[in-house]
Amino acid sequence: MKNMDLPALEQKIESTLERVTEHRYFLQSVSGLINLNSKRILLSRKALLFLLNKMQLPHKEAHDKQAFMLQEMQFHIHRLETEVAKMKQPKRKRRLQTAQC
Amino acid sequence: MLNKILNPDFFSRANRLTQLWPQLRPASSYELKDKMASHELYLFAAENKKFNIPVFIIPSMINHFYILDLENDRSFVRFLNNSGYDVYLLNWGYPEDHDRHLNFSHLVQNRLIYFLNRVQQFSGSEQMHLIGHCLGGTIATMLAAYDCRYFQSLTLLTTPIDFSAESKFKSWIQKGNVDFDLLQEAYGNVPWPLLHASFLSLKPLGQYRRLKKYISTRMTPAQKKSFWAFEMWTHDSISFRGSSYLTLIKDLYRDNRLILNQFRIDKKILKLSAITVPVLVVNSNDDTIVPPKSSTLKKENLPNSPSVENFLFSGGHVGCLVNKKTQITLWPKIADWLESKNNEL
Repeated sequence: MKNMDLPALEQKIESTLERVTEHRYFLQSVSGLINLNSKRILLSRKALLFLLNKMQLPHKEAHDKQAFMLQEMQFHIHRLETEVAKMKQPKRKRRLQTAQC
Repeated sequence: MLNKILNPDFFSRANRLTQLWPQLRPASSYELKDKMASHELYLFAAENKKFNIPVFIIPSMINHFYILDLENDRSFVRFLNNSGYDVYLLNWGYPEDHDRHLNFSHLVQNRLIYFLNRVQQFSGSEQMHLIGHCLGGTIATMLAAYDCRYFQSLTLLTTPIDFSAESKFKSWIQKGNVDFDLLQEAYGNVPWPLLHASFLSLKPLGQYRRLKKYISTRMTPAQKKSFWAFEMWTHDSISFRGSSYLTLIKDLYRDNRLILNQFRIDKKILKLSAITVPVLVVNSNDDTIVPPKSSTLKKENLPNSPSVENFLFSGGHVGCLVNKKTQITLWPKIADWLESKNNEL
């Protein structure tokens, strides 16, 4: 290592890092950490939710799905409107469009 | 209020903070045509419009769309404008907390079809050229297989389609044992720092090498500006919508359902044979994110497409959009190909 020039050193470090990031043990350790952190977040969230429910305070968890469904509904309504508008077009024009496909 | 402050989803809040920062924007001027949920539809109008048929671009969901229009002299969108096309570009935007429920079925059947209808209304053209980059290309392929009537051609830029190809991502998913369901449940949307770290780990010394090159090379101010524009974009990541991420990992990376014609959009099974338009596939030989084998499509994959052309260029994953060389070699080829498909009507 001592007598190595910079490019050689870079190459050595890079190949070591490449090997480490591909190694099963390293990947499993990182996965373990990610999983543990996910559990930690879930635990604190569930504890908080439990507390809020006990205190009968509102929380946004329950509204998340509703907000999402509302947005989806908007898209769906627009889509249906467009389809209806297309169906209202004169038949000849519609046939032409289908022929293009 | 208390819940909001104590929300453990740190990354989601951090992501929202980034919205307050001055955002990097596309270099060209554009018009916001529509906004729905967190998505925006932009029009980059051609000064000398030659073709009535517009181009609709679906960018990747992981990074920002402005890579397609990074700088005045490095802009794929501007090139298409100069070739005579109006370009409609979808900006996915930052995911909201409730976007954790958004999956590919919602994206394709509701959201993208909605935007396609809007493009039809704004442009007055029934059909359009569809271009997808990276994961945007995967979604574009799903969209074309779901309803091909909207399109006259499909262009895929460094797009993963065949997930059986060996890549670092795939090996990480196989060798590691991240519980993705748990991750999604905990975070909602998959946090961008996690995604960003995984991208940086693909080339462990990539960042260092780029900085070293920046310091050791005598650069003009324009080159320096160009360097930082790209660096800023590289680090400007977006969190991934939770349910979509689960589908990406399980149905695509693990089960490779799209190419095997088993991918589901709601109750409909997508068949690539439903793609009946010409397809141009652009692969890069030095792509660590999407290896060429993963992005290559053959005629047997798309039996009902009139033509499937693959073009391999030399460069990395986003090289097709920012590389100076590809502006001369690749972009004119794409423009010629699009024009040849215009004439087919």
